[in-house]
Amino acid sequence: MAERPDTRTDVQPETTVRPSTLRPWNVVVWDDPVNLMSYVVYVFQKLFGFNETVANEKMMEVHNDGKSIVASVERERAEFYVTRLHAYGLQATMERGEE
Amino acid sequence: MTRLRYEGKDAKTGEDRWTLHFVELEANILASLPEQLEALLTHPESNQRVVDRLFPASYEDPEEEALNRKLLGDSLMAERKEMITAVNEQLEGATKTDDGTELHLDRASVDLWLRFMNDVRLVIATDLGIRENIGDEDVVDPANPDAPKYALLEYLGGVEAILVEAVSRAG
Repeated sequence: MAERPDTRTDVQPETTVRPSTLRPWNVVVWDDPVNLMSYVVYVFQKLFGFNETVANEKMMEVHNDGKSIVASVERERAEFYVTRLHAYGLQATMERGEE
Repeated sequence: MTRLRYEGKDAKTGEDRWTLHFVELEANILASLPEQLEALLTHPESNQRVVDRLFPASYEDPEEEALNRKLLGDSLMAERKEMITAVNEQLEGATKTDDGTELHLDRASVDLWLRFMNDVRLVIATDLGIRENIGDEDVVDPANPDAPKYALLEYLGGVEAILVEAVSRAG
């Protein structure tokens, strides 16, 4: 399907700049040879409130791909999640997400 | 052999309750673990690589991570030590039976034991330099001087699996 050309003359380029503080931070969980798969599912459900299906999918991403983004949230929240994941022994880091 | 028994819901609180039974040998090993973990945390320089595994970096950028550590202070270490204190309290509240020891658990204490046992497993595995996933096919030669460590790693993993399954089944 072709796009319809914009014939309006009052269209302004988007100038809204999102402050960098609004860029989400990704919480990344990394694969680990020790943590049990069922334990990782348990932790995901407990910390993020995932249902069993989602928690399993995220765990399998970690297992198969080496990592999974389990949350994209504001910085303080991401720090909280990463700290909690560490308390449960999971390898987790945080990184700036896409705008 | 370690057994977990579901005791139903507490009449007052409505909380799920379980009894975890250890035979004497298992109970003795289990009782020795909090002290060992605490000694490691009190003297991290004794095996810094292992301690670092319990406190991984949150940021890949060293400057961000340094600031993060500064903000967190010793809160992470304090939390770990509180966990060990709580585990010791659980052990003090255990019931001796004819053939072992019984721990009385609710959901919060199952969570506590899971975190504790997982920490011990991480310590052992890091100390052993395990970098690949451990499978059932990885049988360790009994003559290997590290065989007892591998056996403890496997045993604690088995208990963890029982506990996770129990809380998952309870919903």
